[in-house]
Amino acid sequence: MIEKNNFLKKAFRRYYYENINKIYAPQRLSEREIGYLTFYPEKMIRHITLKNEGELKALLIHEAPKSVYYSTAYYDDPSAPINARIWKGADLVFDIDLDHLPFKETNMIFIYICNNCNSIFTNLDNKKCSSCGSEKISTISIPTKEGLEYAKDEIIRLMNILIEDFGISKDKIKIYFSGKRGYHLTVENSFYEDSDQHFRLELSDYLTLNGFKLLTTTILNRNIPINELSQIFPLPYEKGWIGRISKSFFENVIGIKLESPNDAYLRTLLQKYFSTVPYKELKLSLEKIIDEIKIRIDVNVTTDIHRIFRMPETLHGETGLLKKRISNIDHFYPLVDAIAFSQEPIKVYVSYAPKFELNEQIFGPYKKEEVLLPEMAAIFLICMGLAKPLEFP
Amino acid sequence: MQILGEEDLIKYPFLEETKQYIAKLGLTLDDFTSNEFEKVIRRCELRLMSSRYPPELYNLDKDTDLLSFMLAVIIIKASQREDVITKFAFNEARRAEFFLKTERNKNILTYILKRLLNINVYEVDYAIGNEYYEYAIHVKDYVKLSSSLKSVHWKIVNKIISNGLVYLKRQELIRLARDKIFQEIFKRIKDAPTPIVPQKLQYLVDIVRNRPIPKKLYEGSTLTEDPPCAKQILDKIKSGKNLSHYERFFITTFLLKKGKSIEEIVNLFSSSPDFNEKIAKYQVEHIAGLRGGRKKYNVPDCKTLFSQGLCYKDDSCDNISHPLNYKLKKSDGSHDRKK
Ligand code: SF4
Ligand SMILES: [Zn+2]
Repeated sequence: MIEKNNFLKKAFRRYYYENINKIYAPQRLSEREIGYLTFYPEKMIRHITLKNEGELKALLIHEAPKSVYYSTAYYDDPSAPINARIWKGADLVFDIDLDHLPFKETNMIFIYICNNCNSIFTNLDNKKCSSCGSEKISTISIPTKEGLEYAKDEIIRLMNILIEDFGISKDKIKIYFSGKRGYHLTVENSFYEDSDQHFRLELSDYLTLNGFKLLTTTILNRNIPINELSQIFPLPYEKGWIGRISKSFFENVIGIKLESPNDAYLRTLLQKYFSTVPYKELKLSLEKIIDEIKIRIDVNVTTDIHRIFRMPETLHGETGLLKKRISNIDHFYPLVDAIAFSQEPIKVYVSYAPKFELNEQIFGPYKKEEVLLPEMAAIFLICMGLAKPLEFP
Repeated sequence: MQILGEEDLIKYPFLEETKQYIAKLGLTLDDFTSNEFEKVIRRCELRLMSSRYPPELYNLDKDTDLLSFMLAVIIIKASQREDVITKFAFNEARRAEFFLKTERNKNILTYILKRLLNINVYEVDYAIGNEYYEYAIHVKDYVKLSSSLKSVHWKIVNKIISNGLVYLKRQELIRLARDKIFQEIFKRIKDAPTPIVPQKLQYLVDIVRNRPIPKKLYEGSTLTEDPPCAKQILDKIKSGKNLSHYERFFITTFLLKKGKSIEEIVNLFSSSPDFNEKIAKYQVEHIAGLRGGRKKYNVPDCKTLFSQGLCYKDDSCDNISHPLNYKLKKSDGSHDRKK
């Protein structure tokens, strides 16, 4: 059996070598801290400065890292110890990961591997290995096509709020497939670049509707008579969250299509709704909307102003897929467009793989068997720790 | 361009314009010792001695308001009592807030708000239901200006935001202005050179010096054990200054971890000029994980404090990465740390 890390490192190096013209450096590369993860022994190397794109390309080919990262912040001297550098600002960054979205069966496939006896399970009772009883279990999650579409919707909604509410122009926003379970959004060269952690915390709370009380203090006040309530209830075109919540209320609770509604008509609908539905139900449906409509970003990513973030157009060590810039999100299919490796068949031993899809081809399920797979699928499973290579391509 | 009349200057005696106005009178400190300024001195005493301004100080007085304000600034500076600077700045800010709230001329109101806040202030005309928004400011300016206001009402998630602007009601913008006035007056006195006060007015300085000192803070704990970042904030509390949102968060997590009780911490905050026991208690309990999300917050590490501009690293910090390791490393001096 061929040693796995060695195999992957060779494959990654070959990819970088053959595709080096597709690599481009993030803007102001020399002001950013660069870090990378090595294959074996797995080690994080940080505090690197790269002067230009050439140095980045050389690093990728030379080191063939498992994963590559860049700081979202700009520093005077990125390789100095963190307390000795001058922080000059940071891009706004957002991470939408299927892990943070409400769980749906169809979004992700979970596989559990016992670290003690290597048994593999598709569901886990009592957090314990059912063959040896060990509690040391690693979880592998494979996103599905549906799941990634679901996350896509979230990133589009995020983008719209940044544009509409925060006045960020669209050309400063870049969206990426993260290479694994979701999407990244960055804002470069914006007015918000120098904002501190406090601001970023406020921004995160705004997006996640954390601490949202606007409705509780106004319309969700029991003492307002129905007549008045239907007059003051916000309409769908109001600014900010209030308008979005109202829009969802009309569409999903009252159940009308909002094409060219006029105010008076909407107010009559409200009057009718409020006079038939008890207060409690109104409250519940608004709370439900708020819960559905909030943007589920990973707050830790957005608020950490010294974060290192996966570098665009590089390989993700846990999937072998690319972190890929998206130019037209409506026509981007991560499980097609982010594929780096070839169709060349390779023989691998698969300990377990569920049915999965890559490049519109369906594979699996496999269990303890030797399979001939296209390189892209083989590397995908090897990266996840579900297969072992039996030959070099 | 003279937008403000004499009456406006009396309401807002801390504005730059008043300095020119007073300069024109060509007075020196010695002049105040003459009897014709007795009324000015009387009003100055009121400003100096009240822990809350009495209604009298809210009745405008053309002849004495500006001069008594100016004189009070000088006397307080001479007294070198930082807690009195805080009280005075707070009282003046409250007084100005009152006049802003009752300002009938919107042009003047907008002009003064712009001048005070020193940011772009847009007049808007927007209503949702019964809520009426008259002003908008940029969200970044807003977050800075509101950072010492702790109620969730001020979080941006509870504001109407569109195209980078936060929509505000008149009284909300005035409230933000009040904080700014406080800071400006505080800074002005703090940064001024210490004046020489004529013998005859020295008694005013003594009055201030003899004002009771607010109850001792943070007693029963040796300050030397705290890292510079924590010390800095505790000193700020001692001198009665408002803390930023993050300073308050950090020091609360820090003191909780050091075993201080919620009561002790709330008590510590009680010298802050806009202290509200109920709110302070709620917040400390929240951070302690007894409220709201029931999440117990950790003490931020050095990296985070640094990025917040709160790290005051000195040699004593050695190479620690967390302020809680400060004391450990220090008392552990017998061990030679490996390279
Ligand atoms: S190095 Fe750490 S402990 Fe020392 S002042 Fe900075 S934040 Fe505080
Ligand atoms: Zn097992």
